[in-house]
Amino acid sequence: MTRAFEIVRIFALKDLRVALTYRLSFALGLVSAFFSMLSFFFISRVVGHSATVGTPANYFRFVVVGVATANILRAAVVAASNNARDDQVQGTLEILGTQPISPIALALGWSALPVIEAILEGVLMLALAVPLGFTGVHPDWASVLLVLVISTAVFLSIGFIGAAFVLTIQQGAGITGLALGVMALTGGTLFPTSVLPQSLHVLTIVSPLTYTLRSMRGAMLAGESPIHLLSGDLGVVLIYAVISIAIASAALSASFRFARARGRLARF
Amino acid sequence: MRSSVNGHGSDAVGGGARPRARRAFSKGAPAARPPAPAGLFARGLTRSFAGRVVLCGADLEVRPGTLAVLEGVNGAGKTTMLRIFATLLRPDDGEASVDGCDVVRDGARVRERIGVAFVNERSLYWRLSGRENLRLFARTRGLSRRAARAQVDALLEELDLGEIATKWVADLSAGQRQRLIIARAGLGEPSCMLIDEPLRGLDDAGIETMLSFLSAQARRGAAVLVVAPKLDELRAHGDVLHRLRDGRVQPWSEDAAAGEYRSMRSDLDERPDVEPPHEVPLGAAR
Repeated sequence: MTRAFEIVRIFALKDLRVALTYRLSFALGLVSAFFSMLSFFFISRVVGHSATVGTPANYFRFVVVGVATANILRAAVVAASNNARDDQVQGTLEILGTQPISPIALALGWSALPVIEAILEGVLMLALAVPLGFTGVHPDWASVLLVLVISTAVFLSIGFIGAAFVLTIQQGAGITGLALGVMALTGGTLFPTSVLPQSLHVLTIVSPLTYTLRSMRGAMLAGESPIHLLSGDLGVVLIYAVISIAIASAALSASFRFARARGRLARF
Repeated sequence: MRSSVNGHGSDAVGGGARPRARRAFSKGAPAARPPAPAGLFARGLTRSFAGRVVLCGADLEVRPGTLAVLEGVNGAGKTTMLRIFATLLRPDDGEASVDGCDVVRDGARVRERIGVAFVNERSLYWRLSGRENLRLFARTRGLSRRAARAQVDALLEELDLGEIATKWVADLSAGQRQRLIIARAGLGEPSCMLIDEPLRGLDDAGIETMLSFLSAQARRGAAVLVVAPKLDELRAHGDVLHRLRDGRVQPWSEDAAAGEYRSMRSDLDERPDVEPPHEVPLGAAR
């Protein structure tokens, strides 16, 4: 376990060093977070007077928490497959395949920095949202942390399955893109799921994002306790986590075995 | 300590078809089989790609403390053999082990024991410096921060890379990248080293440094397998010389090389339209 954390740290630092060589891109990311907040602020003034969301302040709080959380989970989904693909195309994947690193540790290493970056961006979004009206909230920070940890585990697992596809068939973006697209539509990031037609409700029910966002909004906006959350929506996310971690772990190991058997780690 | 190898092919596979379901690595392998020796060991190694047999019952043994050189023309299967030892490719048949650990059943333990260098300058992170690259891989090999720093500095010094260690890999010459890749293979002082064409792209000084480095690795006790299309300077430094022909490993000998050269000359003499080669292969004219 310690070794896995060490690998994660090593790869996060490596990615950070590389990211810092692209300073402009990093700065532009911060600027775009500011403009996103402004956009949602003005959207809230338009849609906030509907019966579904109540006041503009309600909608702004709803969408800020939704977008900040969804961005973190999106990073968790795409990070492993993107970095696996980068290593594949750059030519570093094969030499990584000769190192004494477990597949799970490597996939966590691939994901670490993008997820940390997304969390920091989420915090920045919240900070930028405060002067725009993100006030009157009573977060339970222990609950927020718990929701973040459990839901990140679920979405990292989805990302690991994407990485397994990259190792096996040199493509993973389609899989993760599809998962993200469906979840963005049905998870309740930008609008309440209650406005969706009945035919899409089944997707809402199976999407882990639905339960994650409900839990995060409960923790962030209503200050619900960890016990209260775990007995409801967060409990569902926890079940998703247990199942998805097992599937992702098996898929990743199998994909490495497959690629090694056929000499495909260097192929792109 | 320096010792050798056989180099005789077995008849594990006949014909060109890729054997199916003949893996010798099944968990039910006979228990009475003697343990594989330390160093690199292969017996009856067979591998084909899309029906073309590349390795056909190849045997090889490289004992600890030995610098073995495997020569073979392009496409002979040298890199295939390295990749099998490096757990990057599974053989169709036969067995291969590193320090007694089977490359298929015991891949994780094999990877703890090997240092690998392929001809692929893209295997480095180009937006990191040479030193940062080596430290990264030293840590992935399990070295502590302090040990990694000390070993990286020593390797940079040994391969004459000290002055360019802080430059981005993107700004290095092909020869410098090549030395960096070989330096990486020495991280963690692996007991077995698998080196692909180490002299490619190097100038005279670089070749001398590289040969000295490889000999030093064998002297410290590593089993070092170097593959190259031509022996060139490696001939004088290798403890054991092999050649890979027709999918099998054979002992390299001057007579065989001279015979091949004479045969090539004879073919060319019959074709007056083709200019005969001026360069005499090593050993052929002696």
